Amino acid sequence: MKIAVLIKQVPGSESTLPMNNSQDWIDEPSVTFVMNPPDNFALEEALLIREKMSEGEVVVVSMGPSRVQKVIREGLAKGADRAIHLEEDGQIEIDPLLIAQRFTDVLKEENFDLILTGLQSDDTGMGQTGVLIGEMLGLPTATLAIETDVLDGQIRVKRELESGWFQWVQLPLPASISIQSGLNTPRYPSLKGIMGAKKKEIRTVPNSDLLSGEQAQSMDRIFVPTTSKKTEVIEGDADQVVERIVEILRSDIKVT
Amino acid sequence: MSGSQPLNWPDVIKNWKHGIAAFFGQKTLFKTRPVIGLIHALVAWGFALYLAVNIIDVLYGFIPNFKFFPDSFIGDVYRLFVDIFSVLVLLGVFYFLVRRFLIKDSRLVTRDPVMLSEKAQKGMRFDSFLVGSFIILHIGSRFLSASFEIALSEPDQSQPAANLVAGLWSNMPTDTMHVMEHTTWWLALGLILAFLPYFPFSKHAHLFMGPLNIMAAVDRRSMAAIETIDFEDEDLEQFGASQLQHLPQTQLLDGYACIQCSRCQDACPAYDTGKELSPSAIEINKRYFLNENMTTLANGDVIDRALTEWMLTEEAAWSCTTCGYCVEVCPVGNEPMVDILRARQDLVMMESKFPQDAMETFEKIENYGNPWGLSPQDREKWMDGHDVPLMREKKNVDVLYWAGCSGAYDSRGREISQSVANIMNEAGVDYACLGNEETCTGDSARRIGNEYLFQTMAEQNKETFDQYDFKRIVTQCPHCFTTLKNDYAEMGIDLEVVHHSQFIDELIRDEKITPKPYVDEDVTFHDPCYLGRHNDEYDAPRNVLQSVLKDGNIREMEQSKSESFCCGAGGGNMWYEIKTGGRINQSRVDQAVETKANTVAAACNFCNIMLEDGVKTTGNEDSIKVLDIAEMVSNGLR
Amino acid sequence: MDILVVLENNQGSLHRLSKEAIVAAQKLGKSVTALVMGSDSDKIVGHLTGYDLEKVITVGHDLVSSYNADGYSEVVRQVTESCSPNIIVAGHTYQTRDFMPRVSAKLGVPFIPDIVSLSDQGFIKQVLNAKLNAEMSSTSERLIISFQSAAFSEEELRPGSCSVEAFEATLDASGVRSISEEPFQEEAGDVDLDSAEILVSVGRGIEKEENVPLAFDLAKAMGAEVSASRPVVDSGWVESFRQVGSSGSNVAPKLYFSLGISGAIQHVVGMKGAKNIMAINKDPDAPIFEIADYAVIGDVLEIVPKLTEALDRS
Repeated sequence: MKIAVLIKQVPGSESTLPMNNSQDWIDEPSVTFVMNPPDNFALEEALLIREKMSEGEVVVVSMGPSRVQKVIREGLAKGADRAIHLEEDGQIEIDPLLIAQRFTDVLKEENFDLILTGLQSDDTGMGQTGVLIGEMLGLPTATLAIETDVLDGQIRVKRELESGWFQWVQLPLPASISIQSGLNTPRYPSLKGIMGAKKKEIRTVPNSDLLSGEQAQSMDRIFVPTTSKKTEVIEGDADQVVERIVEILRSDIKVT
Repeated sequence: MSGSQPLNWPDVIKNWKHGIAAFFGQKTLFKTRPVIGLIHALVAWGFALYLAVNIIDVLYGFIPNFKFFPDSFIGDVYRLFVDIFSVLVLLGVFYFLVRRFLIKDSRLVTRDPVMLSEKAQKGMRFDSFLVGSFIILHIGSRFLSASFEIALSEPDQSQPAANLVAGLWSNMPTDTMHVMEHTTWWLALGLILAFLPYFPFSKHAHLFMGPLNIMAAVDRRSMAAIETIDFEDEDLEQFGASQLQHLPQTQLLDGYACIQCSRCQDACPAYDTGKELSPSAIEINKRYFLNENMTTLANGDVIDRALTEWMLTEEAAWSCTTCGYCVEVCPVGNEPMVDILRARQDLVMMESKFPQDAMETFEKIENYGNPWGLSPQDREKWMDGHDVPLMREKKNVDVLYWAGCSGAYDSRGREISQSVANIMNEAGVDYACLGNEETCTGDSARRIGNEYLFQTMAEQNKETFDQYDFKRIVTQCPHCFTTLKNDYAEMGIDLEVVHHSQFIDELIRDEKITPKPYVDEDVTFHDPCYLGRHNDEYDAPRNVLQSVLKDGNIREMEQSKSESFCCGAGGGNMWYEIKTGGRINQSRVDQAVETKANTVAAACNFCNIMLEDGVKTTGNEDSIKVLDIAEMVSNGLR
Repeated sequence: MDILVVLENNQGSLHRLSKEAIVAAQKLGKSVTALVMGSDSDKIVGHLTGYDLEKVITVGHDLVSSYNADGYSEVVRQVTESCSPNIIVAGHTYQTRDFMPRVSAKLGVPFIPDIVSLSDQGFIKQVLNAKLNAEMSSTSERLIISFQSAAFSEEELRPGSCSVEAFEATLDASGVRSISEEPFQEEAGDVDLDSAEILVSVGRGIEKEENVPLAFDLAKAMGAEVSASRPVVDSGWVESFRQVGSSGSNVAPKLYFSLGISGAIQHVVGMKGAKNIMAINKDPDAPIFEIADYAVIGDVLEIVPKLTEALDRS
């Protein structure tokens, strides 16, 4: 059973996010990078499937500059067997189709039984890569999996629907599944894992070998949302205060 | 002998003076329970005397008409001492037996839910009874024999007690008395022979094992600064301890030195609040395990049973706050806390079995360089509006002021950092802060057992230190203080470090600042474990506190200085929670309130947070407030 | 500009986000065609004929009588190739996320998801956990866009009339590879703070255990779950699974409404990810106000009962 887990390195949720000079992305040198948390759940799911099947290979696949080696090593330390690094330098590419095509080009020879991705990335949050790759490889897809059950040549997936509903879907393998956060408890790498990770294989696909293509989608600028972090102070007698709160709940936050 | 890191016997023997001092000085007994300590001291001195007595008695037995300096002053003094101590020992041991079996002093028992082996529980009672009985019979017999001897010859003023008892035999026929004299005399000596094979298995072995343990003590820079692990060593397969044989021999010796007095348990914050941990149980379980498996171990085999199955439960291991009370008060130099630290290393690094919250803390330290998980770019926020020089600008200073993670991110911590900076500015100290170049010292990681993460952080900080010149470091926090001073030294990173209380004390003594006394209320001081017990500093913070007191006084809590009761945040407990039992911080706040002081002064961020939380949850907001000594001084400078 | 709106059939009625998508489509272009699939679409079609649309396309093929990614994406592809819209629009629902990327890959058309508003040059999307906004654009002639909940309001739906057209999709059973079981609802177990949209969180400012029900009443009126700071849990006033903080849960609800919480760091690290933070506290210097969007300076015990009453009334 060969499982590919796509892992992205993204700015941490607590990292400061200063804008770069061209105001079209953040200034990366000042940013703290981490493994995309949803991908962490996907990796754990892959490791659990391998443990349950008592056989299999888990391969971490990541695209990005040399700094992504950190999350690749993390994945290897947690138990993945080997890794593939697609070298993508410079400004973040914001075209999911192009990204997916590049991944597909590299993944297709390996004939993975299962491709797992986190639901979406904490940076741009386009949430498509796994499904796009699935379509490009001709695989069936399912998203928002909160439970997986691998059977013989098939996978059953419990999908989260809105408002507390769920649905089991069965797909033939090979398939591409995106994993919803919280379905498992990602493990902490043991020391043996950390030490062993140093010796595991990372195949680097240099940028020049990646599929070329036209970028059809772009991020032109980023800006601080105008409605953020200006604290509105509400004071006065209780009735006035309550009236204002109800208004806010209704019109601004839209929860009642 | 089993265990890793075999004892270096030549080195141990070199310390023979420590052993003798421990045996005859009995100083370690008086750290806590002083009255019991005194009784024990008398018993111990009596025993020492009896060593000579037994030898002389053997001579008596085999050399006809032998008497030890029969009519001389030396002989009289000897017999007087023997007489008095015989009575004292008899009374003392009799009291100990009454205390254990009739009064049933709860301090000698380990309550649920602590894991204490069945065999140990029964064995301890049996052992105590046997040992107590042996002593009473041995000394009692010999005492009686002396009394018979007097009754048969003439009254002896130098043996007042025996003399008195001899009066009881005045109506006994001479023949009977002869028989009695000989019987009791041989009984006394014979009992030793009978007892000898049992001796190594009984708690009585502490006679030798205790002093031996003290001689074999590892010279640590501070209690929790255990040896570092060389991760480059390819032959090293086991990190930390999961089984008996992974424990260093000194730790195994602890099991035999343990006298089951349970002093360590008295104020262990975890045990006191009803958790699964008792340091006493750790040592007792260890000793009984060794006894049970003696043959197997002697054959060189290992016992494949996890420590968490018989020595202490996993939850017990996590309940420890590494406060060091158990190590401080143990009369025979045991270190239960070190066993816990080694067990944690295994649980974290080998088995990945530890509280989920601890894991998140590791990830926060790894990703963001602080256990709060806040942006490393925000470490300089506390300096806003305050005049604080930066290391990257000054490059060469006398003092590197280390704010630490709590001092940079916690709102109260920031106020304390600002207070210290303020004091330094007033005193004209040549200092600077690293600001965003600071990263976590790795203290929490090390105490929880993640030695690898600790070393990673240490190496990062070393690189930063190497870029600048400074004479010494002043830390805002005792955790940073002990880690930078002692744990980093284990890794070969030698730094001169003081805590802000010590530094402020120095400044006051050198008259670089002169706080005006202004506090009119009474204050109590909560000794931070990592400043007090771990680094023997109890005076500096009190001096600092005293400098701002006008009409107010320092009222000490019952558990203070070396007996201070932990706030509950140490050993990683700041980051995860053991739900069993009560809250340690609430206990401590109750103790502070008992002193009737209006303020409890602290010298540590964690203590501050814990005490403030505790004040809220015990509903004492109107009775007591929490202040750091730096704040109190800084307020007095304005 | 021709717009194709792909609607979601939510068990016989139109999904709210689909209505909002129609509003978006009406704003984006003049000619809007709506596509609806699935069995029991009749009621939906009935409503749609009252909106200002070009036409409604229905697809009644067996293989898409209930949702499946293979079938739906193939149908949308076929309808797109038949109608040639410039933009394909949908609400950003779980269902859209599941199949729309398939359409994107099938057609080679970029899919820009989760848009919150339109700008002159492009589409505004939240990035980096909504800390920043980005303006997205595309050079492609055709685009797929999905809109975030409440990006537009269904109140702005333009009424009118339109025709209905059935579309004959060509689907093969072998092309639908998934087997879906019946959707079901999970039993309400322990409170899941993580998934609650609104949290009403109790702090020491509630003063006494007797006052805690005030928070529960407010939560009920708001359809919210109750959480708490550590001191409240430690005092035993609420169950420990409600604890939020560094040694409790880490939550990021849409609204975190704190009642009498000071905002000490060990609590804040557990909830600062909330999209909206409203805090009531007597102390104007309480640290919680540093991270709150709405700082209500007042007495929790006075305000909360009145607030509950006001919400219950409406």
